[in-house]
Amino acid sequence: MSAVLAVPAAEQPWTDYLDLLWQAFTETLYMVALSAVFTFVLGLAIGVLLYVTGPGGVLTNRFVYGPLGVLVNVGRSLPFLILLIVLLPVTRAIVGTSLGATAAIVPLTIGSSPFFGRVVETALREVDPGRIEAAQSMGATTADIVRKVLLPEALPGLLAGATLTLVMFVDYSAMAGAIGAGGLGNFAIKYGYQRFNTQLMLATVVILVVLVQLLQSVGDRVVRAVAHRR
Amino acid sequence: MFRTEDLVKTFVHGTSRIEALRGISLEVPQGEVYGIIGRSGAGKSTLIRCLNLLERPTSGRVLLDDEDLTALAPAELRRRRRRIGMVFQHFHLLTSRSVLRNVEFPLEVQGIDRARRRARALELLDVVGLADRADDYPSRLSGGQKQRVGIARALAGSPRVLLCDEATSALDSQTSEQILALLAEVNRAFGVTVVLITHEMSVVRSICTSAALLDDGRVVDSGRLTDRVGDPASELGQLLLPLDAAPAADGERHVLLTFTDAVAGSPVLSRLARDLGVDVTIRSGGVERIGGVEVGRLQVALEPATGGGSGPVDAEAVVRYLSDRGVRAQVHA
Repeated sequence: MSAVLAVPAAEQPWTDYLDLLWQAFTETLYMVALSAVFTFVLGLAIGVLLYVTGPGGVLTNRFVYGPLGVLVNVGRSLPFLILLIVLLPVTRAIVGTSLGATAAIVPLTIGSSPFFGRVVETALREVDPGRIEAAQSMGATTADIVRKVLLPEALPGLLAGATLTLVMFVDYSAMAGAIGAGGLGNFAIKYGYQRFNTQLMLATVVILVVLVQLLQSVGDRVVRAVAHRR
Repeated sequence: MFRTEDLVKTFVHGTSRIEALRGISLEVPQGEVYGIIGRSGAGKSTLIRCLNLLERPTSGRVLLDDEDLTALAPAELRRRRRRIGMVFQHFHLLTSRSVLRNVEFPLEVQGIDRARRRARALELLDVVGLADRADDYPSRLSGGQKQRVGIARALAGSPRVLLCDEATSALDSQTSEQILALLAEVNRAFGVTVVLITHEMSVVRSICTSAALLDDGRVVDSGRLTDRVGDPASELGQLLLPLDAAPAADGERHVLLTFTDAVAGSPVLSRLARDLGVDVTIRSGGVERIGGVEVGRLQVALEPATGGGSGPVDAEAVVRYLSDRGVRAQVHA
């Protein structure tokens, strides 16, 4: 992934940094994409479990809901920067190193899954309980209800939440860059901030803004397309 | 086919207890259109939800074909629920699925393969008159159409009984009549027993064959409508065909009478007047079609026929005369 590229002198214009910038950009995309996949899977599981065992759920169980809720809240109350550092040993154990884009996926996933889990739980709560009851009256199992009722009915809300989370990843991945994960955040700090190259700083900001805009508008479009079909 | 034995349901919210059902024992015979009527808060919604155990009764039993549903393990209960279709006031269709796939849902849950599912769903959409809307999403349908889909969905698994929870309350009166006609048709064509709850007496009048009147968690009156309406003491009868009984004036003898079908078309009263020499004046009452049968309730005043015998009318003799001719009568104090 990170081939060693020649670093231009500090005072060079930003166009001389295009190769490095591109590399940082792809690193960011890589981090965001992979953490998103893991977070969506983990967060979906957390969200469904919270909803199903929560008050008024299909399998209400406060011995699951209580501890899980606390765990999720702990995960969400830690500032991401702190979490990054606290998780360093865990990351090393899983990935083998605590440096680089791949290593950043561990704290990104662990940091965002509780958030996305709550987003999922909230989206599922928006589903009219009457529809779940209707499914129960037809003899649906809990698995049927989750797969065939809850998730499809909550899809627009889930996609909106996923967009929100994706945008948050861009933010978090930049922060991870600050402690050695690479990507645009790392680029901005290393070449923009530390070498006083304002042009590079601005270039990174512009790229981040465009990336976020793009993710948000694609997300909105998908949500609208899904909601419109109904 | 459906029977409840001493159903009790108490909701506890913190320190307050709401006794929704206080011992309900009912019997719904096979093939009937059974109405459960009552004011809001009478417990009818809780009762119908107890029939398929969407609501667990606090105590008491629910029997479907002599099998106690409350004693079943969850998996068994799910299988039994397939014999019980349910139609909801607010339809509860899945917005993420087309009309066709909504109707397929119960079959999908039962693990029936796609081709058979599709065929059955299309067949039912045809029954409810929405075959041409199969690929539309529910949001594009009117309330009445949504309820038709709800009925098709409830029938998809070939249930033996259909529970209707205020199925027409969210619809305008004309649409409501069409939906009731459809339910009556389903009952007739497929032999599906229908249990419906409603707060509107007109619904009971138009399609029910039997009914139970609920008040404050208890059954006040129940039975076949033709029977109830013929019982002058019946509260259901009074609601079905209100008789605003007026007190008798001095010297008058009043008789309350109820009659059904065959009698309604014959000149019983004029014969009574001739045979017993009394003048009959109708004071209040009416004749209506209830449960497909012509029924009447009247309050009549009796006086000696002009030029006839003297002294007061023998009201007991009038009651006997009418009873012999199939009219239920009683002297009104």
